[in-house]
Amino acid sequence: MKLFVKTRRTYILYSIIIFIVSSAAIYFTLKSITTKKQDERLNFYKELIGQKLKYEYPLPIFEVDDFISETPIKDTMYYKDTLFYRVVNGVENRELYRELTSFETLHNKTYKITIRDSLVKNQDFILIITLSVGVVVLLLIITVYFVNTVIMRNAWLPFYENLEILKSFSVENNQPIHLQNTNIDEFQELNLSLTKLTDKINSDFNNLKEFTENASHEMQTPLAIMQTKSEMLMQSENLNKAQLQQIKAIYLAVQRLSKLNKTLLLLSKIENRQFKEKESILVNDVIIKHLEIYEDFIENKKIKVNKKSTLDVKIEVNPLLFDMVISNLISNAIKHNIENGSIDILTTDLFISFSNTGSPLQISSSSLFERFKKESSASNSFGLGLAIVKKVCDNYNWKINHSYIENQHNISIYF
Amino acid sequence: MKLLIVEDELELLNSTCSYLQKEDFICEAAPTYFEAEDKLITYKYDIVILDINLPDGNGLDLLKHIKENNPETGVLIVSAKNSLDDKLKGLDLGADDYITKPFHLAELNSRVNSLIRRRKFEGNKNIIFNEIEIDPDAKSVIANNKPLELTKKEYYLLLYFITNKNRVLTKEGIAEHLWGDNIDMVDNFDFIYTHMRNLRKKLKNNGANDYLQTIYGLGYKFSDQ
Repeated sequence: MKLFVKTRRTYILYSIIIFIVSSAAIYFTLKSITTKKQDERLNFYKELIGQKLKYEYPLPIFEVDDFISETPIKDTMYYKDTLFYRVVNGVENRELYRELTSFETLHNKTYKITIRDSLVKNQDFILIITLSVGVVVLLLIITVYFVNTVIMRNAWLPFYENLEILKSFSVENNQPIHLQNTNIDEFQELNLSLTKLTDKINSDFNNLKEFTENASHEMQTPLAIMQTKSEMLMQSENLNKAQLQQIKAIYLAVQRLSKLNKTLLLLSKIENRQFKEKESILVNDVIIKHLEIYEDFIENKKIKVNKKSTLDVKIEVNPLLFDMVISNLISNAIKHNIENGSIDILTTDLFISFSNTGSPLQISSSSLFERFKKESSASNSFGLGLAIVKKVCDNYNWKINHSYIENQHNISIYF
Repeated sequence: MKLLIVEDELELLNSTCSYLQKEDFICEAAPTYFEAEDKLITYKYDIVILDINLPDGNGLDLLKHIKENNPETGVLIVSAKNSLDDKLKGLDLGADDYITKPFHLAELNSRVNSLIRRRKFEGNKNIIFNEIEIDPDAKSVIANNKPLELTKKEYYLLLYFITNKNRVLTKEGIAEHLWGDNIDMVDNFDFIYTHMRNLRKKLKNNGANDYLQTIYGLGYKFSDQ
């Protein structure tokens, strides 16, 4: 839920509650005040009548009989609201009256005195006041609501714009972000922190890149020395078998190390998304090119290659990375193949799939694409080939999948 | 043939120099930008092997200098930075080839030789080793005065051997030269034997001598000694 919607909802909810409560409070307060005043007035009349009864005996004839009547019971005086029928303009109306009933004893006779006063005009008065106050409150709420909406929208506008800027932020661009200024302190503070944070990310990323590059540089030069020195050593005359063995061991170790160094550097480059250039590439051409490169290996294992494809499948990709993917997939299909096996390559505009005959995996299908996962520790490979393929796929949001059905390994990439 | 090797790492400079000197190249060494610049102003070189990461300057500036003053000098860039940017920048500035550290000395020698062949317009370009003669333009071979039919791989294998004659060449180096260094097939070198056997057989059928020696455990040597 957007903050905007949330505050609006809360505002409306509380406004309704305040409106109801305030209207009710005004109504009941006014009512109790007017009732009190009326009771005082009734009491005053009662006193007046009491006085009259005392001094003007015998009783004057009252206009209405039931104003004063003799009663055998003496009670304490009480107030009550009562409905009373009255005929106004020939129409019978039920009107609400306030009634005071009191008892006076005069000359050994108890009189019940009832005084009534119409509540109608009070009621009207209260209603009008409550209504007008209610209308004022309602207008106030509506005005505040709209003013608030406008203010919120204006205040949050730079925030949303900045959010868009942040969403499009990427470390590879290596550009500092330029956020919209606002006159709201909190947002301004947030902007400052974000600018600081992204600047830090950018500089850290650059440092990391520099470090990887420097480290690889520093490593490759000694490796180059070791490699050339071991090659020079090989050229020496009169080496015996044991010495040759030792030189070979050194030479092979250097080869492995430099290959590992190159591959790890490549992986980190793909991760850092440093291969940004894209070209439209014919998938088939790349596959044919790499099948030619691997021709000797395929023939050596007497592998049959079947290639089925929808012609002219083109994809937008970095040519270097795609070369790497196809090369790794083909070499993988050859390496884990059997003598007289087969490789089936299928390309459509939705996916490419490489199937090859081979024995079942010793490791799980899901860990196949992890770094340094390999089938046998004896093999000379690093288990980085498929990790590179996976990284490239991640880079382009392609899905990669491995399955093993009926002695056939299948690796498919869905574009 | 005069070569200048610009390389700040002295040990690497030494081995490169001594390997190439055996090929009858006159090798001069420059371990710093300053010395290299000095030498380039004073002398003329056929080939410059240029490390672009120098302690006191950028090798790419030297490359610009060479191309402005001696455009006929061939430049082979050596870099530890395996980055595409540097490669493209170097080739854009007129470098003729690019090799990444660490490299095989035999590979460097092959690259230098092919660079010389491309640069040398006058005279006989053919590579002659006793009764074997290679025409690098036509990619054809004559052995014992008879044309030798070779496959592409066999041809490059022979060229590599003759360029690096009398040297021990490793299987890894051969594989990298023929199939590129991205090929991840190090655990199986059977495919080299196949080409090697075929090449040997073809040379023998033409009546040429068998110069190919197997060096125990390491690789091969093409030698008449």
